[in-house]
Formats: sequence, structure tokens, C-alpha cells
Amino acid sequence: MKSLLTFFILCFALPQATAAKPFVPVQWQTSHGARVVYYQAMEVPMLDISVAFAAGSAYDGEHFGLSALTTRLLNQGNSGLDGNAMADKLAETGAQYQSDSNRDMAIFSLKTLTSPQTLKNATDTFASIINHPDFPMDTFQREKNQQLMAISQALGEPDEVANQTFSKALYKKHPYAHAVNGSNETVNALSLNDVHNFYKQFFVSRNAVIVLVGAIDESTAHTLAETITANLPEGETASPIPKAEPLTEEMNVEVQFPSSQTVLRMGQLGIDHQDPNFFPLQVGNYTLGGGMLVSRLAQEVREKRGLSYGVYSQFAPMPGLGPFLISLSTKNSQAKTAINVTRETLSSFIKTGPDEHELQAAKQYLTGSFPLSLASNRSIADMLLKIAFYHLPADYLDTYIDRINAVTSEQIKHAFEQLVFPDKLLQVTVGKV
Amino acid sequence: MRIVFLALLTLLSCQTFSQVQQFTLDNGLKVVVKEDHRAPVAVSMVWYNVGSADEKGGSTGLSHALEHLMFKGTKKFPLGVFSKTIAALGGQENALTNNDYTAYYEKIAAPHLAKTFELEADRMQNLLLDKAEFAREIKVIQEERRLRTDNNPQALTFERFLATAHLASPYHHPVIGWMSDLEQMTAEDTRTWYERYYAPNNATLVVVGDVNANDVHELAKTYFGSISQHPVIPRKSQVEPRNLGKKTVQVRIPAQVQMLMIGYTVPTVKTATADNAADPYALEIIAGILDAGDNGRFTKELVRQKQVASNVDVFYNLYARYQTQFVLYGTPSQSHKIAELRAGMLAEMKRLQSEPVDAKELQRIKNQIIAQKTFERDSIFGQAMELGLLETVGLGWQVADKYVERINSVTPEQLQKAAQRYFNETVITEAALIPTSPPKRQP
Repeated sequence: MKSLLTFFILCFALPQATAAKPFVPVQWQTSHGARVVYYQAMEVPMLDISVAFAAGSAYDGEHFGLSALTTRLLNQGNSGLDGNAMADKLAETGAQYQSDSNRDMAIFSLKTLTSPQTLKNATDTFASIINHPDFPMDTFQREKNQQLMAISQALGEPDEVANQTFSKALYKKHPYAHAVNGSNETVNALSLNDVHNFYKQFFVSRNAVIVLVGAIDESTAHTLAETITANLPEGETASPIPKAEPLTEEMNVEVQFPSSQTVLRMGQLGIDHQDPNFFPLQVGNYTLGGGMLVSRLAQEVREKRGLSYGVYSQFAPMPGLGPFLISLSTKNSQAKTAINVTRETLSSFIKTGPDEHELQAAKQYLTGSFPLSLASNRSIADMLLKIAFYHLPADYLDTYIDRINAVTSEQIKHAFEQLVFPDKLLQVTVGKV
Repeated sequence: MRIVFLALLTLLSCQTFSQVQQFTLDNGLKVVVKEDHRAPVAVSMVWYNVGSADEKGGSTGLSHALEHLMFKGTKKFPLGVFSKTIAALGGQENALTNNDYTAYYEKIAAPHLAKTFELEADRMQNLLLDKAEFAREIKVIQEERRLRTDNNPQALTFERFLATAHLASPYHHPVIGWMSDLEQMTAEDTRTWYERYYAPNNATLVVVGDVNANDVHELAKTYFGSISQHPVIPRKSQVEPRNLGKKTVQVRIPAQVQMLMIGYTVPTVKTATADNAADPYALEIIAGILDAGDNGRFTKELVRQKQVASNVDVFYNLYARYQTQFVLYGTPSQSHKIAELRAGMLAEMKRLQSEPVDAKELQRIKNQIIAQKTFERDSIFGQAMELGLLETVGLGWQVADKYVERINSVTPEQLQKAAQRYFNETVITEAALIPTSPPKRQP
């Protein structure tokens, strides 16, 4: 009942894009040094827990796909119980478990009801997943096959091929270059020993952030945070991901693909969360290609010319420097036109920056929509995890609106000129060009 | 005991939360409001009782095309003003079209609700539907079709599955429409559609969030109250002819992995009669037994145990307006073939017919379904979706409040009977995605 929903039910008019009462999260460290953020929300009798480790695919080393495989395997046999028994134990409580790995982190989350016995049973099972994975051999082989399947599937999707080609070209030998799932070759080469070592090195308290949001009191939160990571040794924080080096010249990669559309990815190296230009770039990007339907790219590519269903630009901040990325897809015969319009729109924006109306509109949206980003336990948990994991300033939420409002047109222009070079763009096309 | 207590707790807390209030304006517009004061935001939705199921051959995709054009301006708020106004208030807007409905929404800081009402009321009656704008937007829609369906092997297979499963019923054609219909559609077609279906007496306004229900009622009167109603042609009931044998369709296209879909014709809460009123809830539970995430039988037996599948999922919408399909869909694992996956899936369906579900397993599934209902209260958007959907298909929002009770009352005997009644292997519809050539080596 999962993925099919997305193409069965919803046909959106617009592509889906991706803030209040006093907001006081509480922070501390567990006795083993895991960082904890807790926010009480008593209205619905439920609790969201996320545990994230700095153990994303950037920490794979030479074993591309190892973080993803370890993450998959974590709940497939724990404390002597097999995967089926673990799933049943959680299901009895009605709780939902999820795991995911991206380039920076491996994340494990639990959503549970908070009546005392249910909460205890669900969180004990969750603790067993985090603390006591058995990594049985038969399961290892099965999950490896599952991952190989996911790799194959991605190669059939032009969007995925474009994303992977873009990362590989932009990051070359940097740990962000390879796909999170790795490749056929590298995943086939993974051993159970690799998984054990990865778990041992990175699944340690000092490398963990725990977020708890929901209907529990603070002392319960303290107990839970201890339980969830009870068996994780202190260990060490993973060493920071090195900063990637920018491309020195323009680069075009064309991938032939039997699709009716050409998928375009255009961009270059961007920023981390601590970049001094963080706010000017976010505000500026709203005008360039962040605002749905109202951005310059959306106006030029979609609204005026009907070239694409969606077109966006974004700065995805990441510790090793995330990408600045423009994406769209259009039917093969008009790919050239779409690329030209996109390039012209980008160049002209870098030259002039936003005008006063655009700047005003960007600030109004970014500040006005702030309450929406804190409107549910889930979104609060996601926000708190982002702040803690990426070491954003403690006053990030309190000062967010002021910092957006303080951005000037000059700062945006300056930030884009410093960072985005239209003559050094990486351009990837996947389709029948 | 714990489980009973848990269920009771959910029922009680649903009641304290679920203070849904309904009003009807003189022009027939239904207004449904649910207060949720957790954050100073609200979601406002306008649901029109029209969807792709109302379209005839040659005009498929009309409801969805009109949905796009609703963002193209009125005399009072010309092209672009709608989106800019909502964005300037920090709001997020979008719309969605399905077989059974077309819905528009804004998520916004609660004090700005009046502005969304003003804009929605205006485009309910004064849409421009300019020819030049239509010509541009229909190209965007064609790109959307290419993006979501034509370039997505799974989606394309599902489209063919539905067209094969539904012989005469309105769920035969895709929501986005066939490409040739999109190529021939005119602005005038969308105008006819707009004038026929966009009326206050064919719509429901749903608001969930940090609002006062009576204030919302007054606000609705202010902005929507003066829109005149007009007659809406009643739907003729359409009944799908009985399947006389198995139907199969193959999709041979460039792709990387195979997929198999198997569909059974089943009732919904809307189409069930007194005789089979409990069946949609039984089917909902069966969907959970087979595919409740990690502990469903499909994952346990086919993915973990026999390892014939990489994944197998179930789709069933118990609130569809017409008779629908209970769909199983899965991908064989690397070392196995579609035939082995099919055998595994069908064996699980047979097991449901031949053995009653164990009481413990049933309780586990019920716990999961009931917990999920509590988790859904975390999202005001999800709550608004449920209310709007139930009102629009004509079931009434009260059905949402009975859900937990109905699920809880299903017995193992009822599950077995439902499985015997609907999972008849000789009249299934089957679609197979068969990759022709691998499109690309490793990038």
C-alpha cells in the first residue's frame, strides 16, 4: 500500500514543493554522549523518535553501498529474534518503524502510541534494533539481493540516471560522488564483515543524534534516550566529510536513453549549512527557481513557454558542500530550447539579482510559511534533527525570520556572483538528445 | 485487555478531537470544519464533485486539464495573481484530480483564511479560460503525462492494467487522459466542463486547523454565499459487466525490472449493500494482513521466506465511488521469474480462503490500523483529505468516525467469507511488465 498510491491517486496541478506557539525544545546528552533533542507535544497521544548517525554513504569508504546495506539490515534479526518476529513484536503495538540512509546520515525512526505499556513495548523493540542487530548470514544475502534490485530499478528511471550521472561528474573522487546504494559491482563485493565493522565504527553514542517529539514528559524522554542507545559505546564522532573541490571548467554529459523526455540537471558545487551566504542564497533562490509557479525559471520555462511540468533550482546545503542544482524535464525535441531558456534566465538573474518586488515577495513567502514548517510533530522532528545534526546555531529558529528579513538585494547579487559561474556549469542530459 | 483499552482510548480521544461541524449555505455549498488548535495554521480545501470517472471517450483528461486552468486567472485576479497572493501570505497551494473528485487547497497561517476564500470563491464562478493560456498549459499537461506515465514503466503498466480490468466502468481511462485526447482538447471543452460542474451546490468547502467553526461558517457566507447555484446533471449509475474469464495484458517496453499486477473486482463502502456492508472493512483488513509493512504475509512469505519477490504490495481504496479493484503488485527477485511470483501471490490468496486468520494475527493488524488512525491526526492536511473525500463521494464525513468501530468488529469468519467471495482466480485481471532491452548500463 505504498508506492502505487503516488501514481494512482494524485494528479497535481503543480509539482509538489518541498513555521507559532512558544517553541522550546530541550537538549542534553545521554550518559554515553549521544546528543538528545526533546520537544513536548501532548495533543495527540503519540511519539515520534528519530535516531541519526553520521554514517551516510559518504562514510562508505571504498565499499560503495555499505551504509545503505547496514541500514537495511539493522532490523532484520535482533537479540536472537529473526526479522519476522521483530516485525510482529512492533506490529502488536501498532508502532511504525522506518529507516533510511542518505549521503550524510543513516536515520532510524519510530512512531508509536504513548499509553504506558504500548510505549514500553514499542521502544524496547526499537532499542533492540538500534543496540542489538545480529546481522544473520542468510538475511545478509537476501538484503544484498534487494539492494541489487533497487540499483537495477534506478537504472530504468531517467531521473535517477540523471541524478547519479550528475553526482558522479560533479564530485569525481569525493565521497558524495557514488550513489547511496552503490553499484552492482561494489555491492556484490560487500561482506558481512564489512557490515559488522561499519556498525561498530559508526553506530556509537558520540556519533548519534536522538530526537523525541510527542506526548511524553521530560523524565520519560530522558529514560527513553538512555534505553534506545544503552548498548552503544561512547565511541567517537565521525570525522567531518572533506569539502569538495569545484569544477574548473564547463562540462557537458549526454546520456542516451529511450525515453520520450529529456531530463536535465544543471549546476555546480554549492554550500554547507555554515556558509556566510546561506540566507542571501536561500532568499535569492526563491526568486530564481525555488518558488512554485512564481519563480523566474517557472515563469520562463513553464508559464510562458509550456516547456516543462516542473522546473526548480535549489541549494542543498551539505557538510562536504552540497550541489546548486537546476532540474527539469521536457520532450526530447525541445530539450535545446529549454536548456537555452534556463541558461539565459540564470545568467540574467546573476547579473541583476532580484528587483525590489521580487525580494519583497521572497521574504514574504519565506517568513510567512515558517509556521507551516512547525505545524505537525513529524515536521517539528525533522526540523529539530536538521538543526542538531548539522550544528545549526541554537537560535536558528528564533532568529530565522529576522535573518530572512535582513537580506538585501546587494547581498544576494554578491553571493550569486561569488558562487555561481554560468561559464563553468555542469550540464547532464538523459534522453534522446 | 490491553488491546481493548487501547481501542477505547482511541475512540474517546477521537471524539474529543473530532469536533467536526457541518453547515450548508443557501446556495447548496457544504461547509465542513474541524478545529485543530495545535499550530496557528489551517488548510482550506474546495472539493468539486467531478473527476475523470465523469469523462466520456475522446474527452479523457478534461477534469485534470481544467484543474490546471483554474490557476490561469479571472477578471478580478488576472493571470499569476492567485499564486502570487497566496505565496505573499506564506501559503502553499496546489490541487489534485482523481477519478472521483477535483480538489484545490491552500495551507496557510490561520488569520489569512479570508483571502483564500475570496480567491477560491472568485475562481468558482469567474474563470477566464483564455485560449492562448489554454494552448500553453495543455503542453505543460502533456509534459506531465510524459513525466509521470510514459517515462515510468510501473505507471504505464498500471494504466494498462486499469484499462483492462475496467471494461465499461468509468475507471477505465487514466486521470491524466490519453495523449491523443490531450492533443485534441480545446479551451471550449474545458469551459463546458467548468460550466457544468463548478457550482456551489456541487462543491464542499473543508477547513481544518486553528479556526473557530462558526467564524468559518460566517466567512464562507460572506465570500461564497452570493454565488448562484445551477442544476447539476445527476450521474447515471454505471455497472460493470461481470468478468467472464481471466483477462491479461502485457507491457513490453524498455525497463530494468519486471512487475506483475493481479486485480480482483471488489465492492467499496459506497457500493456495498446490506448483504455485504462489512466486506469493504474486511478487505481493508485483508490488505493489512498481506501488506502491513514489514510484518505482512507477502513480506514474510514471499520476500523473506521463499525469496521469490523483491517486494509485493496491495492497493485498495475502500472509499471509491464505484466498484473497484483490489490490486496486488510485485517485482520478482533477481533469481526468480514472474511465474513463480504469481504462484506465490495466488497461494497466499488461497490460504485466506482455506484457513481462518489466527486471532492473534488479526488483532495485530487491527492494532496497526487503529494506531495509524491516531497517527493521521498529526496532519491537518490528511484530516481535511479524509473529510472532503467522504463528503464528495456521498458517504458523509461521519463515516470516518465509524471506521475504527467497523474495523474492530470484523471477525475471522467474515475475512474468510470475503476472501472466498471475491478472490476468484478464474476472473482476475493480470498485467505484466516485461522489459524489452535494458536501456542503459551503469552511469
